[in-house]
Amino acid sequence: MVCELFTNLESIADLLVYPTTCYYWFYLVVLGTIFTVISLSLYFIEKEKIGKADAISTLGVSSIATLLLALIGTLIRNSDGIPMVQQNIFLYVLAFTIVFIGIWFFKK
Amino acid sequence: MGSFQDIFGNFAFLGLMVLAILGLVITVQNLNESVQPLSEHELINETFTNITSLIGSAEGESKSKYNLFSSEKPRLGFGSIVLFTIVTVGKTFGNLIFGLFTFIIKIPLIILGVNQTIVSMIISFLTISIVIALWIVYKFGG
Repeated sequence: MVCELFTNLESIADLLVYPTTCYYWFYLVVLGTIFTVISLSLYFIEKEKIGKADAISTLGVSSIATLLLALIGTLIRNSDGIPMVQQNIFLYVLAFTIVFIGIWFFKK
Repeated sequence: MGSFQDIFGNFAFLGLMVLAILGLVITVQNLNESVQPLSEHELINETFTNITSLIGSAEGESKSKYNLFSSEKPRLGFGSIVLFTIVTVGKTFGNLIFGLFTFIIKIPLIILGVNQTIVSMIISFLTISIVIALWIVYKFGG
């Protein structure tokens, strides 16, 4: 996998996969940010509406959302067949989210 | 600590959830002809197969233990009725909980590189909880 110039982008998939070819961990950082934003938003929305919030639940819900986004990412590939989210990155996301989902379900 | 039924119920439910998540990922990737499917990864493949067989075996174990339990003749103990099959039931389901935990913890342990001491601490806590919960089942019947 070589980081090429920002050319020969024929489709949206090519554009989405482009950062992966240059920076392997790009989508791990993106998914991590999405996870943090969703969990914090849910937490503070719940706190504002009900008065108290459950951090484990919000982390569990955002874990499922992040996992599904990463799964969709593994299905998107460019014209060379390179997936948007690489297997190793998806494994990290899976392992990380399973911990929160596990704690959430165990607590329930 | 919680009762034995709660601990076993939570672990069985957690095992089913992990199985469902892995099943969803593997099925979606296979249906969409993913370039790097998760099913090709050795650790995930092994975990998926082991959890499937362990949860599958729970049905058989439950049936055999129920048959043992229903065929046992109750004996009178000191101020109570003694049923020895409850001990084998407890042992079997205690082993199922440990089996499930071992397979589920493998994914974060290996991939994220979780420290072994943290896992040891959780296992110690789990062991004590199960032993105390089983003792309550043996002693008071629930």
